[in-house]
Amino acid sequence: MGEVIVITSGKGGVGKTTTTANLGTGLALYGNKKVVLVDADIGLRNLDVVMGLENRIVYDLVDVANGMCRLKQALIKDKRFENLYLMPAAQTKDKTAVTPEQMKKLCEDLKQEFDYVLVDSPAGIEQGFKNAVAGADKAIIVTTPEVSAVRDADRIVGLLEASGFEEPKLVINRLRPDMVRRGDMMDIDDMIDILAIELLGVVPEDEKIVISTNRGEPAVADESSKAGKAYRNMVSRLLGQDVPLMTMENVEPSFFDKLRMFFGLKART
Amino acid sequence: MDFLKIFGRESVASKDIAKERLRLILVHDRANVSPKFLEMIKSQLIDMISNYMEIDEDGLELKMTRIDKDKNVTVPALVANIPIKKVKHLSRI
Amino acid sequence: MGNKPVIIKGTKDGITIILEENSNFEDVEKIIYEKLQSGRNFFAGGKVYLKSKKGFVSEEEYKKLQEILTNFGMSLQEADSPKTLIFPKPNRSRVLLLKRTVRSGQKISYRGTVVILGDANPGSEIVATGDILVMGALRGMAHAGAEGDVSAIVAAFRLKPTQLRIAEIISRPPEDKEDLPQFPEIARLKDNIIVIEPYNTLK
Repeated sequence: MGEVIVITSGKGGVGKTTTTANLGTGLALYGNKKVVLVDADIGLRNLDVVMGLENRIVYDLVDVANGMCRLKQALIKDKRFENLYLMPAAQTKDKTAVTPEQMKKLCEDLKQEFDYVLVDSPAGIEQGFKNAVAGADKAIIVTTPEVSAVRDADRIVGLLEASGFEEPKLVINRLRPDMVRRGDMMDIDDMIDILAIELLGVVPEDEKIVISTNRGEPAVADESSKAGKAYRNMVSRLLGQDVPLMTMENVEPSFFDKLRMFFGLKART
Repeated sequence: MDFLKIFGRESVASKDIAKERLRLILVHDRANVSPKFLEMIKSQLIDMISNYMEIDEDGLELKMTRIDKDKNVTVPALVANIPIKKVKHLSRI
Repeated sequence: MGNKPVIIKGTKDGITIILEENSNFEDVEKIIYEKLQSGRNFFAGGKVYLKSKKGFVSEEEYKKLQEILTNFGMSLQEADSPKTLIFPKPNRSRVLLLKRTVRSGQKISYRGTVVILGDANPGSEIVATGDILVMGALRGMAHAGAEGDVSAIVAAFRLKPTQLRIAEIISRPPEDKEDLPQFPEIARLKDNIIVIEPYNTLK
């Protein structure tokens, strides 16, 4: 019996889909688990594109929910990694095309077949979000070090707690060590302090993410990518290993930076 | 004289501004503080205080803000500004 | 016509009407009517399931059947699988002309031929019972001959769809993206395989 994890954020554009794709791929690749990625963003599907599987879709989640096809007909096997599957969202329908009950049923069914069911939630707190969390056992909240994203993450923590989720975990995405060093970006402690939830991992801003998304190949498998490394660490943590936070190349100000700050100069990098 | 400004650096790191603003915003968000909620508190405050003193109801101000608790710690606070017209004699109460 | 044009079977939760592939609808109507007439009260209140061996019945035929059945106090149930959906025959003479770009999330469904004066972007879906012609770039999904017409074609000035379907056959472009041809192309079915040819070789 597998586990259903919803990846959500409230705010759009913080990297839910990228996180879903990378964690899922990592669990299949390094954890040797059977994983299915579920795109719950009906009407604005993107997980298929990020995974490079957009041209294989015949049936989708809405078809399964409405009994138009069998579960297995809609599942798309990943082209590179064994054990990895995608349940695509419908693109030409909207969020009301499925109900939370149908999503719950779908997740229950997928749990029988897979070790991990990762649900990529749409932005917002309306029906799409409610659908995405309906069948989930656990939640991962993605935020970026911005006031708006953290505020929305807090709202989501509240909503998840209200619907009985215990201890959602936090992913801080797109952290820029240089900006943190200058004091121009909230650091990890600031955000943990405010949100008061457990940290799953921190992903540094990495242009390799853009490149890997262009290619439709998750960065987690790229040994040279810093973000990839961060995702691999998170995968280990999900699998129950105790991995220390990776050092963000001088997240702490160096002596020289401190000196400059002391003199009130803007550290330029 | 603001020595720091001359050197083009704001005295507070922008991340600290972000953090403080967030704290305040979240107090509102979490308590679901709507203007209506503040109005409710306001009217009850007026009722309660009116027992003891005459106050300028129109001049009453109530807001969510933050105050410096210690040197470096600010906390969210509910601040009321209540102009008093006359204190009632205790014997009349 | 050796076989009966229609078979009426009793099942545990009602009766099933199965239409043979080459049945004449007037005969079908007559047979059903007589059958029901002969056992009037017996059938009342029953559920009726409709199946068609040719995969579809026309809306008009469906309505007529519904009318007959309702007269006998019976109810025609929704078809239980996509294969027995109610469709009219493909009609090549109907043409939908769209003078715009079809964007992601938009679905064009039409009984007949679809002509688009514009592009069809990734994430769009064009489904036609007849042919699909895109006078621009086709980058989304296109499904021609959606009700089984294997002679349907998909043609585009720039044919680079995420996926192509003709009748029941589905294909997607090869993974390794070669340089895309800069001329119009046409996709059609040959021996159950979708083949793509330059448009200019056709007369």
